[in-house]
Amino acid sequence: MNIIEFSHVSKIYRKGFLAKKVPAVVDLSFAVRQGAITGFVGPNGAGKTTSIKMIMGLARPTGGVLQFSGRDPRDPASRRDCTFLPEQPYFYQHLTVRESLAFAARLYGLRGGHLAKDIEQTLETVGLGGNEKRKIKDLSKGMQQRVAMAQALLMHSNVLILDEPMSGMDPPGRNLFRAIFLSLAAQGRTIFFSTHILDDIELLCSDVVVLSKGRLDYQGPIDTLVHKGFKGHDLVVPRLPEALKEELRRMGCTLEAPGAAGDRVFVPSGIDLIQCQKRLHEHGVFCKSLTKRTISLEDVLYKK
Amino acid sequence: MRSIFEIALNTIKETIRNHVVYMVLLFVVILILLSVSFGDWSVFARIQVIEDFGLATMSIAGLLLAVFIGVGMLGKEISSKTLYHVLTKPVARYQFIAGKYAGLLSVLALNYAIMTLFFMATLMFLGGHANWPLVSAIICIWTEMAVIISAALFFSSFTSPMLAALFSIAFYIAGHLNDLISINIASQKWSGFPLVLKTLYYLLPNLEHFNVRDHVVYNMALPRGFTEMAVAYGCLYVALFLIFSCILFDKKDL
Repeated sequence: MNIIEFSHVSKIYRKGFLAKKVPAVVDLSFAVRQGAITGFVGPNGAGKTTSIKMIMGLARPTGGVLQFSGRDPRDPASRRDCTFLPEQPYFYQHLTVRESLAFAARLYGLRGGHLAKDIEQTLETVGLGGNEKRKIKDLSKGMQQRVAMAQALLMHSNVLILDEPMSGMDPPGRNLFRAIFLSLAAQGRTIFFSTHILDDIELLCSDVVVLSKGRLDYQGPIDTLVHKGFKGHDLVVPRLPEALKEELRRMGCTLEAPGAAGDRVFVPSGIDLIQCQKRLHEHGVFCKSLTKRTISLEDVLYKK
Repeated sequence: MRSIFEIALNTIKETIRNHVVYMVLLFVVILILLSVSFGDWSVFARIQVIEDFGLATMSIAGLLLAVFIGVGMLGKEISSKTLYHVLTKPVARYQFIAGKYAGLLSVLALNYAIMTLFFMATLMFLGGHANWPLVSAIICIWTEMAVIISAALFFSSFTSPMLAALFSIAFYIAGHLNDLISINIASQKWSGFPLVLKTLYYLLPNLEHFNVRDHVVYNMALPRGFTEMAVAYGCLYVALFLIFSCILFDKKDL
């Protein structure tokens, strides 16, 4: 089952005195599976935050159909089992940490004598134990992010939507969040988060949605995307006779500038590496080294 | 309903922790105390001056609170995006508006209760007494304040806090000058203009309906059922402003 379904969704803002049309999202169609950790990636201005706002009912699509938990996102019931962490934690500054979490809990309909204890335990989990009485305005951005995560854990929501949750976090904080995400995913929760930190995508996500200029660039398993970065294999071999070099060229390999260790043969992906190695073995040539040539995920995503 | 209650409670906490409320309260208290000395300079009895001045001050206080707090309340939430904290939960936008209004009204009603107690105590200390016209005048001022705040919330649902403040002040002035519009209607030469004026006359609430200071100062009896009608009239406008606020806010991209 899909928790989030975009079907030809567009969002066009009107800016300025002449109400000039500014498209933020154009004909976007993708789905987020229940129980998956899905990364939402794209360069600045790709439409990620706009898409997340539409999911949370903060903005209305100009066209297309958007379903969240099987409902229109403008229906408050669609958010009953969901917690949202925005990029900047927008807490009421006049409240203490405890008051803020209690307020959020009561908006979800949680109440009762155990709430105070649950809040204390949750704050311990995110490393903010003992800070219940501090005013939100006295906390750093990283600490406020932890309060936001505490809110998500307190509600036991099955769906978490996060907009750059680790921005502003120190490395221990990011490690804590990663551990929490993996733990939640193991419990079958659905996590959908946007990020610029590609390490998090590779470490945490099973699926990824890539946007570019408001349009879908890629949607699918992260493995397929990582595989796109795979270019081929680099072989270092002893000096080759010209005839063998010609044969390797005919097979589709590239002979690159020789190094001190010998000749360098590049076997592109798509060319059978085993056959190339067989051919070399037939001529008594054995590889000195064999390495994969890949381009980084950043280059796969952001460089065309 | 529980969401409205929780949002109202949060608004009460926020407003109580806002120093502007105490500044306005202090302002009213000081003016009421000053009015005690004004009575000595006036041809009217001292009690009449204090009654008139005190009621006028409370009316102005309602406008100040509406402008400084009411207008900023929604605008500040939109600009600081604290409403994300609420609207990303299972809370409808109309519940947010209703909760904000209920919270604000509760604090300001408490504020007015303190002003009223102080005002009554001052009057009684100087030999005056509470009578039904005085109580009715205070109820009417409370109702007027509720209408102004609902108007301020309406303006801030679709425009910036600065413009909403200007509109609220203009609304207050136009509301108190509404009677002049009906006088002007008959004297207009251009045939289309009376229609425009008539539309304005019926659209804008007549805030002078809530002004019964003359009855208090000159000890005149109020018509039977006047206070109840004034409160009903105010409630009608509050309901209209809140409904329109909800409609506009519901369509807004945040």
